[in-house]
Order: sequence, then structure tokens, then C-alpha cells
Amino acid sequence: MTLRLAAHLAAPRVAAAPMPPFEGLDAAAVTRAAVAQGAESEAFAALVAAGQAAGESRPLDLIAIAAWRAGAITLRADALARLRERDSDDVAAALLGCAPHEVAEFVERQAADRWFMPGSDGKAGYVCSVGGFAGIGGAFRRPVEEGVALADDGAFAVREGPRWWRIDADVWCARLVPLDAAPREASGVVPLRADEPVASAMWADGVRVSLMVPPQTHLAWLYVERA
Amino acid sequence: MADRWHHLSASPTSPRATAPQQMTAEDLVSGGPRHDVGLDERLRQAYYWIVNTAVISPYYDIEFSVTPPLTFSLGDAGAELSLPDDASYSSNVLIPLLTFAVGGRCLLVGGPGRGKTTVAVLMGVMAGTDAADVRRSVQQGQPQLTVSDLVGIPLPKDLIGASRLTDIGIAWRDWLSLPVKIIDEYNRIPTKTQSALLTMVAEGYVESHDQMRRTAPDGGVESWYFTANDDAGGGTFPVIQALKDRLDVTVQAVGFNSRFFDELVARVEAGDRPEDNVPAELVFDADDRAAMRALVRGLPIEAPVRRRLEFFFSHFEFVQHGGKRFEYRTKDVVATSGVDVGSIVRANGGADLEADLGAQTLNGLSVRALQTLVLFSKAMAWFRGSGTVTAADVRAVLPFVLRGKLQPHLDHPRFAEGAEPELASDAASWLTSLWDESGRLFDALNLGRTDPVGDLLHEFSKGLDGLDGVEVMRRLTAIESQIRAVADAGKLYGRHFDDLTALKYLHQRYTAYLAWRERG
Repeated sequence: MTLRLAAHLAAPRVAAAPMPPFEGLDAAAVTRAAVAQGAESEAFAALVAAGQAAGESRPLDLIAIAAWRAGAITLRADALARLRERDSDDVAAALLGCAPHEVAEFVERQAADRWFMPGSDGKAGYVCSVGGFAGIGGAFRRPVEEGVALADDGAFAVREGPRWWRIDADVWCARLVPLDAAPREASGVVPLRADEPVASAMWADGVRVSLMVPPQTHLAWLYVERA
Repeated sequence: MADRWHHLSASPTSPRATAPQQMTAEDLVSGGPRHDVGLDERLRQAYYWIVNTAVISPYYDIEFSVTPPLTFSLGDAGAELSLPDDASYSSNVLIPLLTFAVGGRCLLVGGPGRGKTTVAVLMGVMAGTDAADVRRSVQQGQPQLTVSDLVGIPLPKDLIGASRLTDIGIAWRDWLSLPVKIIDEYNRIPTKTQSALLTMVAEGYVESHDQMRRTAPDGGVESWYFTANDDAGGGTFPVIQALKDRLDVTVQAVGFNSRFFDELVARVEAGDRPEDNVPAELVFDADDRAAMRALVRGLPIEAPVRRRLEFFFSHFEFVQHGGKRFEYRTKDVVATSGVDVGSIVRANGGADLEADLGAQTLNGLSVRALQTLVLFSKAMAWFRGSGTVTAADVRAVLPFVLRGKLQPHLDHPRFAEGAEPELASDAASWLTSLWDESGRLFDALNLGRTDPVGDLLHEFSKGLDGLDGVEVMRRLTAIESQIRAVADAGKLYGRHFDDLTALKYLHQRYTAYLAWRERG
């Protein structure tokens, strides 16, 4: 099967659940705000429900972590800060999809390596795809022709036709926004072979992140290799 | 019942392509970090609120497109509908809003009931004035409007007791110090009262009985909105040229789109007015307005865009038969002599009238018009969230800045021989076409890459200190060589006029330097 739409490998596989109420908070408004930041609506609701079922008593922790886990990259720093301050790992484990004893390692390693998940050392593989053909709900009108790694951790810029886009991604999220102009790093070099990375970067020691453009799709893949 | 007035764009209206701004869970719960919303983003929110909620203006005539827009030919009169692929805007809202941002003067023209005054009143409310006070302060132009009606009256008791004019206290009208001033139907105001208005608009003060009052509000940023049902000389009184010239932009109000009739019915039923429902987030206090103007002014225009602008300006002042001396061959010399500029333009057999953009106008551009174009181009770029002014920003505001300032030569073949007769009544499209044509010529002449006159000016700008005689002679020869190149081409256009004048200036500066050096 060829993947045609943008997707994240680590996207939470959760059964749809209604958004549970928050005491003193407008749950619908919080969901709208999280979705505006890039969280997937159903995943956010299901994660919040899962966190509450696991006994979470701090709603702001739950909102931050669930929103990040559901795809809101702008909540990344807040979620990590909250995870660092927590005593109990049971709820965090339920939200992050790992074992309770792995939460501390996840939080520590994420500070330097935004692609880390417990068990990912020594492995290589696809993290996420972004873009996709505009005609079926994606963002790109043409296949990606050029890409460059930007200075910011987890950031690439890609060009499809005359348009440049910025990608910001991590283990859970990928945000795509149009750029007004070509980034300074743009070289105009188009890769000759489809199986070669369009761009690569090593923002963390031993972690190479590559931008691939598979043939016959309008997607750009992020691919991570670890030493 | 849902509050249909207070919906603002929740997501950034023009996402900046920088690293994602980090948020906290508290931000999500409280509706977002409002303090982090920049002034440009707030102005965009104001724009979208006005066009989508307040005045319902589905006319997207200021177009931006990354790729050539999809276009459809419609009807049998050359109509074309284009679908741009980047955010595009309604001029009748955006241009007044940019006027608000820069503290400028905007003329809204159009027939009655097209939302001209409503848009102006919204700007007043956005400046922090109560909606009722803004409505009350709208000055209604009418044939009996006196200077006293406009500015205030001398106190009667002082009139009796005063021995000098300075002893007379004036009861100034409150509207004079408001940050947004609205003059309705300004072409119905008598000429003498227009002159008082001109002092206010041009100088920022008003005078009565030897007393003076400054009209600028706290923070120093004031915007003016004038409305008229005609800007072609109609109205009860002709508008004095100096006042007309002070108006930075002119925008056409548009009619109501019948497909949005339901909203109109809802308003009638609710008895609502948009100006009574401006969201608090869209109010800009004096500090905001001062900061906004400073941010707009500080936006850079890079050299390639400046060069395109220079080239555009260069077309219009020159007219081949305008005078005998080279420097006097201008439309202004002709016009101030009382001679018909059109006939002088048509007398030019040395240049191709259809290729000469300058032949399409009866005048050149004033320095004030150029400054306004620069300022509004910056405002447009800033509004779009861009860090620098692009040629697209200039193109977008140019027809509104130059309308009424660059006069079309209606006997030119372009208007007169039926090729594009609509341009005679559609100034905005004509002015845009001038910019586009100038850009094509600029590219065809490869002026973006080679600019020998610019190089000579740049060389001169480094200063003359320590320059030896041989180098000066080399530069003088280079200047003469450039002049000869134009002379050899035979035909002379406006773009050459400015170049030749600049070359003569350089020649004179170097010659004077050489003479001074030889004397010393």
C-alpha cells in the first residue's frame, strides 16, 4: 500500500472517546484551542479520557501532555516541563504509550533528541510524512522538488512548485506552514535520485534526520537513523 | 444566542514561518497568549472581523498570488475573473485600515449606502472612541457649513469685553482632538471652510480669532476619513486642489452583494450596528497606534524594489516638446504656462506614443505622492507579515495612492481608440496596468542587472575626498559616454530624462571638484 496522506508513525492508536468534562473548564473550548495548535481532535479527547481514567488529578498537566501527544508541537516545551516535575509516572505512561519505568528516560532523552522513544536506540526508520496532494486533503499541489535542513532543531524547508514550506517536527508532531520566500539555506539543488535524501541534518549526536521524497507521491517523509 | 459579533480569527491570519511559538496549557485554557499577539496580527484580525462580520465585503480586488492565478474570460467585453492563490483583500476595507495604521488621510468615494461612513466610523471606534461619540463627531458636509460650525465659536462674553483678539476664548469643538476624524461629503463644503480644513489636515492645527489649537491626539497619530459621492469634480463645491492633494489614498466603496442578504435581514431584526459591537481586542490605544506607525515606517525597502519604483516614477514628468531647454521639457512647465499638456504630448513624433508610458498621463508625480506610495507600500507589507516590501506590495497599493494624482491623458490611443475604453472610467485598473507595463519594460531592458547610471551615482556617493585628477577625468568620460549612448539611440523617453539630469548633476559635481582641485 502506498501512503498518500500525511501521517505520523507514532500517532496514538486510540479508540474514539467523547471529550470528558473538566471541572471548572470549558472542555469544548480547550479542545478547539488544542486543535488550533495542531492536535488531532479525536486523539486529544481519547488521551484526555485515558488520562482521567488513569487517575490524573492535574488537568493542566493532562491538557499539555495530551495536546502534545496528539500533535500540537507548540505544547512540546510545556508538556516536557510538566513531565519533569511529576512524581507519579502511571498517568504519563498511559498518555505517552510507554511503560511507567520508561517515562523518566523518555523525558531526559527528549531534551536533546526530539525523536527519541524508549527502544529506538540503534534503529532506523520512518517517523512521519507531511504534505500530501492538495486534491485529497493534503497541502501540496506538486511533488516536493527541493528541501533543506534549517538551523532550528527539527526544522526543514521544502519547495513544491514555486512555494516554500517550513516543517517543524518531533516524535509526535509535524507542523507545516507556508514561507513567504525561499529560506537563506536554499541551494536550488534538486536530488537526481529518488532514493537519496533531499536534505539531512544531525541536530543531536548520533541521530541523523533525513527528508525523503518517495516517488509518485506528494509527501515528504522524515526518516531517522541512530548510531 | 450565539454572539455573532465577537468572533475573531483564532489562528494566525498570516502564519509567520519561524520556529513555532511555544504555548502552555494555561494558554489553551485561557484562549491563547493574547499579550503575544503582535500589532500586525491584531490589525489582520481587525480586517477579517470587518470584512466577515461588520460590513460584509466579499470583493477581493487586491490580489496576491504565488503562481499565476487561474483566470476565466467572461462575457463578450473582455471581462476576466481571476482566482489568486494567496491571501487577497477587499480594498474598501483594507485601504482605510492601512490609513488607520499609518495615521493617514483616506477618501472613500461611492454612491450613497455603500458603507463609506460605516467603515470610517469603525476606524474611530478602533481608536478607542465610544461608538456614539464617533457618530456624533462625524462632520456632515453641507453648503452652509461655516468655519465656526467646524471648529467652534468665540465665547460671546469675550467678544463683548475683549480689547484684543487674544483675549477671546474659543469654545473648540470636541471632535478636533479625536484620533480619527471623519468628514462626510466633503465636496459639499464651501470653499472657505475647505481652507480651514486644509490647515487642519496639512498642518495639524486650527485657528480662530488668533487662537490656535493643535488637532493631533495623544500619541500624535491621527487619521482622517473623507467621503464623497464623486471625486471627479462633482459635488456642490469643487474641492480645492491643495486639500485634494493632501489625501493619501482614494478608495471606491462597493455595493452590497445580494448573496449576503440573510445577514442584512438578521441585522434589521436585531437592530444591530457593527460599530456598537467592535471587540475590545480590536481597539488600539494611543501607544499601540504610535508603535504601529513606527513599525510600518521602519520596514525596509530593498534595493531591487527601490530600483523598480525609481524606474516607474521616471516615465511621467518628461514631455519632449515641453520646453526649449532640456531641463524644462516637463509637463509641469507646460501646465503652469496654461498650455494644453495633451496637445504637447501628442506633438511628440520622436517617440512611440503607445510604447511611451509617460504619454498616458497629463502630469508627473509629486514628491508627496511618492512619499505616500512608499509609506503605504510599507504598510501593506507589514500588514501581510512580511519583513520587507516587495514589488507585489507596491502594486497592491499603487492604484489607491495615485488615483486622482496621476491624471490620465484621455486622448491617448489607449483610451481614445477603443482598445481598452473601460480604463477611462476605471482609474485603479489603468494605474495597475501602468505599473505592470513599467515592470515588463524594466525586465526587457535588463535594468535589474545592469544599471550604469546607478553605478555612477553609487561611485559618487562614496565621496570626493582624496580623489585624484585622473580618476575624476575617468569618471567624467564615463558620464559623457552614458549621455552619448542615449543620444545615439535617437528616441527619448521619460526614463532617459531622469538619467540624463542625474548624469549632468554628476558631471557638474566632478567638474566643480576638478576646478577646485586645480585652483588649490
